[in-house]
Amino acid sequence: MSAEPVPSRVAAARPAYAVAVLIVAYAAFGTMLEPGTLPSALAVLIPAGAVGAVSLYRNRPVRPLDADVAGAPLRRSVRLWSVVIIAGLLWEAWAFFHQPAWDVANHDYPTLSVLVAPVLEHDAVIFAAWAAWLYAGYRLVRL
Amino acid sequence: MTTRDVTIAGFIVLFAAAAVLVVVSRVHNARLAHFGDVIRAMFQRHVMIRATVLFGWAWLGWHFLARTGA
Repeated sequence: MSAEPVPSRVAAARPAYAVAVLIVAYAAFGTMLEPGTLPSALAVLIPAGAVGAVSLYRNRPVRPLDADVAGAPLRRSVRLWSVVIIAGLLWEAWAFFHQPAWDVANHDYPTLSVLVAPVLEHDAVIFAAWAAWLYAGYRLVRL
Repeated sequence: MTTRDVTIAGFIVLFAAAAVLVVVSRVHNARLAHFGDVIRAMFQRHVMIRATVLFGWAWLGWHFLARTGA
């Protein structure tokens, strides 16, 4: 008597489902924590440490890029993303250095953190932010 | 238009530019690589670049999820 064979597509999807369930469960857990407390700090530091350790000290090389993307499309994308990210950092710095103190907001020059803070008062948004952050970490490990 | 409006508009323009890059890379992948490919290429370069990307990701979690919020 042999066990019924599991269809390969279902078997292949199992780890993805497990990761999704784990991310949703951890995001729900993180949402319940009070920001600015030790538990919320640990809830961020533990996955951050795990992702950092796995990414920096793994033996598996990063999967190579597809040949049709590795040339000009990649160079073009790197240039454009660099412009957007550097402009964003400079714009944030411009607003930040107009603050009277590092932890006191300037109404005329709001930083991104100041603008986002009221939105992060809603549990659904915090949950989505947790899930997005954890998924990004999972993708970094999977590179 | 106040200084506050200009500051907020700057962030909106930057987010819109990022959104355009994401959409264009999806539609015309042969001309513009995905953001994920850019990150993968950076990871292949040097361990310090990899560490910088990881630090940026960790800092976002620390800043928006651990320190601030409700």
